[in-house]
Amino acid sequence: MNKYMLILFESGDSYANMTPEEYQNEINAHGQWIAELGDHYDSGEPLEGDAFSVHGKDRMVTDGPYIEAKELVSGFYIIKANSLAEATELSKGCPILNLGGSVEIRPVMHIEMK
Amino acid sequence: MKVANHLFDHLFRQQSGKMASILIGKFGFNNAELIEDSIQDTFYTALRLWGMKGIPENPEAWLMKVATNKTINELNKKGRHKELNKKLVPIIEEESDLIGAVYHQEKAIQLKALFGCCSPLLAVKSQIMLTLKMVCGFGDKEIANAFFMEPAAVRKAIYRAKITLKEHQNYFLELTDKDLQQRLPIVEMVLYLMFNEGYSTSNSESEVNADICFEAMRLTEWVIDDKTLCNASTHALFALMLFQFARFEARVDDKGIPISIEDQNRKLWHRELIHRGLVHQKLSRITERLSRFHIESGIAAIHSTANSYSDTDWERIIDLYQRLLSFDDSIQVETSLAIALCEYGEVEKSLTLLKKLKSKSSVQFSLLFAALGRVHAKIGEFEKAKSYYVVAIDYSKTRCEKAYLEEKLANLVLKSMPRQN
Repeated sequence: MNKYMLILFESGDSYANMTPEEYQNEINAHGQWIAELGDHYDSGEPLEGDAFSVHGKDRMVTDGPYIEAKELVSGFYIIKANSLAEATELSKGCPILNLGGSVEIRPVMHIEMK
Repeated sequence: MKVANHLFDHLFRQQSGKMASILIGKFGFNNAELIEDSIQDTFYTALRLWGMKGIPENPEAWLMKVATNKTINELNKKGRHKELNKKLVPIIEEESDLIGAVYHQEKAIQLKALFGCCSPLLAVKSQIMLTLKMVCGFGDKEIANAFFMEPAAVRKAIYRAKITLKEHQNYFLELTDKDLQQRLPIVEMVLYLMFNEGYSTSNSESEVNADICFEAMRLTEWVIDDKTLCNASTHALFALMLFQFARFEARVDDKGIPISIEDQNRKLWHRELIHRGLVHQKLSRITERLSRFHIESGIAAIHSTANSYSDTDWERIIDLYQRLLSFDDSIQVETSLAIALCEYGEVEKSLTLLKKLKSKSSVQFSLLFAALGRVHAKIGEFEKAKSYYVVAIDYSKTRCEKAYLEEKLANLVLKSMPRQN
């Protein structure tokens, strides 16, 4: 099986007015999704909201993107699948989609070095 | 039993209220907003981390620790920490101790928070909403749902209540035992109304209802556990809640339409809760001063222990409703009295009372017309009964109430049709 990186894009706004109850339901939804992925799941990391960006030859540093931005990378998963199509199908279960987020699916490059 | 599961089902909601009470108790009410933001942020962090990494071993302690740290960070950022330094340094230096110490006294602090929310400076509705938000951890949306309000209006009302209380810095901690005792009647009233809000079938589609009842019972039980606070009236209030909650499942059908006590399936009544209610009712008798809760729990006890509707001791119920009038002479109580009179066979008295109510009441009250319909149906005056039910349906305010009355009317139409053989 090959590895795929699922890059999660979310808007910080989606969580602004959530009740504690809704937060808990979201966590359960994530837990359930990972359980469903089973052996397809490899790893994942959430990302903090604080950010700097460095740009180009000048190494210009800017703040952000901010958590309030419309679309922000909020974390990533690595999953194992047989094809990009299968990985895409698996991504459809990701709970952030229900809140208007999106998932970008990228195959991790893997070519034997020998 | 369902109630026990609520503890885990609503972990976040309960922790939210608990953390807010504890942190506000520690850092003062003037930081309430900052604390709420930190708690919100804690839940967001939990969503990110737990969602991907799984749930920590001790979720409660994790949440408390993260929320405490976030609050301290925010206070530092605002330079507010200095003012608190003296008081807090010894606690904060040993962070794990903070959690331990706080957990040890959490009930006491949450109780103080409850009494703090029930401030005489606030209107009763604000007291309830603030309690639901700050002590029980309900979200604006859930409160809005229970009160038939827009979430924005709830936010505004709670915000205003907080502004009012903010002028009294650290008010939770400053409440003395004497203050607590003086506020007990307000707290009991708030818990009573909170329970009724959840119990009311006017919004029985909402899933929050049982949770509100449950929270009201949990807090009442805490007051009872506090021997210095608990009063005979608290036992009476708790008994009332237990009797009512025992009928929670039976009081609506699967579509959320109310079922009157007459038609409820008594097998669904929760015997254990009724039994516990009777125990607290007994404890409530150790007093000279009767409260409205004594009387109401008395009525509920008679219903709860009657084998059938027709077996109900209406004579005692009439007596109790008459006594209740000295506490609450609302049209609801008088209407209930009229129905009890009718069930006891005093139809004339019942009708006279209802007609008197109809002529003196300025508000068109659906329940009153439904009662008139009911009494007329009882004496076979079906045409009159039908027209009263039609008026009652007209004045009914909610979908569930309307559906309930329409069903009664439909039954009446069936009854009044000439039999065809």
